[in-house]
Amino acid sequence: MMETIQKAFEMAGGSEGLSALFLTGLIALWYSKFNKGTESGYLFWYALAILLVVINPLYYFVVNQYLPELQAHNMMLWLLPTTPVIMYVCVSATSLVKKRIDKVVFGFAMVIILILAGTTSYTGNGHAFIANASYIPQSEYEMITIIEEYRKENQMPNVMLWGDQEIMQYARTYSGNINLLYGKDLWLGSQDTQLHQIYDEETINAYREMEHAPFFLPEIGSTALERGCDILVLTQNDFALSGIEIPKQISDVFVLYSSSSKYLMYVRND
Amino acid sequence: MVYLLPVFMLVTAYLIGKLGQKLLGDYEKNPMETCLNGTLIVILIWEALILPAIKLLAPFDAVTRIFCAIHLMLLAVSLVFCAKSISTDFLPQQLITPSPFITACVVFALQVVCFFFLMPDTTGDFTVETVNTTLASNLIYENHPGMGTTFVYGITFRGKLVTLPLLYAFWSKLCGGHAAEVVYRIAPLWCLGLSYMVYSLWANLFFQKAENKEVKKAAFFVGIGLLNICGSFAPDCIFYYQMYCGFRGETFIYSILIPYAVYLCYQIYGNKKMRSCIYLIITILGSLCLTDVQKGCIPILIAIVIASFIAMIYKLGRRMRKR
Repeated sequence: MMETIQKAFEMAGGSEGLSALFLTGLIALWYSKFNKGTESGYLFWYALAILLVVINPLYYFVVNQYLPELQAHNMMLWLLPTTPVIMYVCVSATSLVKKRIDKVVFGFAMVIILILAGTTSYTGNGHAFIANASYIPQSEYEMITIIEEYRKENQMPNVMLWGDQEIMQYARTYSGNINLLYGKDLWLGSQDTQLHQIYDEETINAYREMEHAPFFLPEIGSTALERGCDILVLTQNDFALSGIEIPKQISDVFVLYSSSSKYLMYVRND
Repeated sequence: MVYLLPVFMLVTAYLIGKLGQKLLGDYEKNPMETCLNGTLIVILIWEALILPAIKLLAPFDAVTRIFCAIHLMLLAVSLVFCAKSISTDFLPQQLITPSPFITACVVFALQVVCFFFLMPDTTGDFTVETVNTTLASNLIYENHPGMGTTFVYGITFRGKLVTLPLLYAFWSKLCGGHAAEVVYRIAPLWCLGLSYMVYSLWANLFFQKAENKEVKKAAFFVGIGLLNICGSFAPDCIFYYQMYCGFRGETFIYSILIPYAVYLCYQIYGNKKMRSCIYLIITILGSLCLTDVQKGCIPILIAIVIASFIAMIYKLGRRMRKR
């Protein structure tokens, strides 16, 4: 059902729906701008000027050479007057419709156009319901709460966690007292280009080993010991896929403490 | 307690904005503009406290205590000195007629529901981690937010100028709520509310001479909400940012500061309200605190230069046509 809806949305057009609507709005604004002595002329010229500046090759050269971070939001800059342009034109157009029933039909037509224009690049990716108030997926939330309980029970101010990237990604959004061997910027990068963390080759190797944990258990054990890790979290499914039996302990130091539906938690036993 | 935070933010922004306007001798602003200016002043005060604290390696606790004291002092002074002008803002004839705005409120509520129940876009973002790190370590930008341990290379000065995540940490500390609730629920709500305030200023400009002004303004607000909801499926668009990245500095820049700066330019050049220059400077300074210079301050300056040029030409053209 959901797939059919997605396909229908994808078929509705390209990915330029809103841009097309904006340009149509601009033309409508040109037609109406000097009509009623309102300030729509200012809006028209501003929207047009910013569009012309942003699509200018000189502007592109300057941004490309000297302001690379602005490039990512370039589209937002020229599409920014979209909201007032589209809505001003829509609202002004309603005054041309006299009958109440026509106004209702016009309103519905506008809503449908907005939906189609906005959803032309709809793929459904990244739109998911939250599982809890911490905004962490449920399987990771289960394991992180076990880690946090363990920390509190043992009265540890901080614990050093090393584990599968999915658990590492969410651990610090839950608590600032769970420290990690490496941050998610190692595999995801960071949006903040002013944040500099250089990971050495050893850490990158450690990440690679953890992602194939069942085959590198002795290495993981020794690295964890060396780096002062308190907790290791491995994925149950990795063991099932590799056909390796789930170990009760890793490198004689980390023992199986708890498990959740998806993860295994090993704690340091010295 | 966390859910009372928007009320606290609205009230403080309004009262501090009112005080700022009183100091400038500006009595013409409507409550929406007062709130926007107040918010920017609060952000700048926070920045003014954080920068020396970073230099002095002061604990985060100390900064929050000073900020709370400044807040309380400003609120008290504002209540004492601006009581008369505050009461005139809320006279029955000044308040808007609610009936045309019911649909707009429903659409606004729908967007708020999205913040509460849909996963935001957190790819490569460290905002909640920064809040948690600051609260747990009581240090400002000393530890890596993703690891919790000390940085190998750290954050550049340009990065340290951005104090928005620390402001979230302050709110989180103030209300005791989970950082994710403050960042993913309250911050986007705050951003959305402020963007509606900016667009209300635009609506006043557009429909000041129109018939059925209130109905048209309400329809304008409904449309903005629909655009946010329907347009949010197209990534890299302001609507997507508004709905799924409402906590990021870039969203504040593109949905609030740039439209506000363009509005102020029109007031300066088009309506000769020279006091708006001060608010424009506050807006530019505010952009430095919200996100990186290249993502925030530069786009605002581009928009200001274009808007000023257009406003001057537009005014000149109108004058020539009158002659």
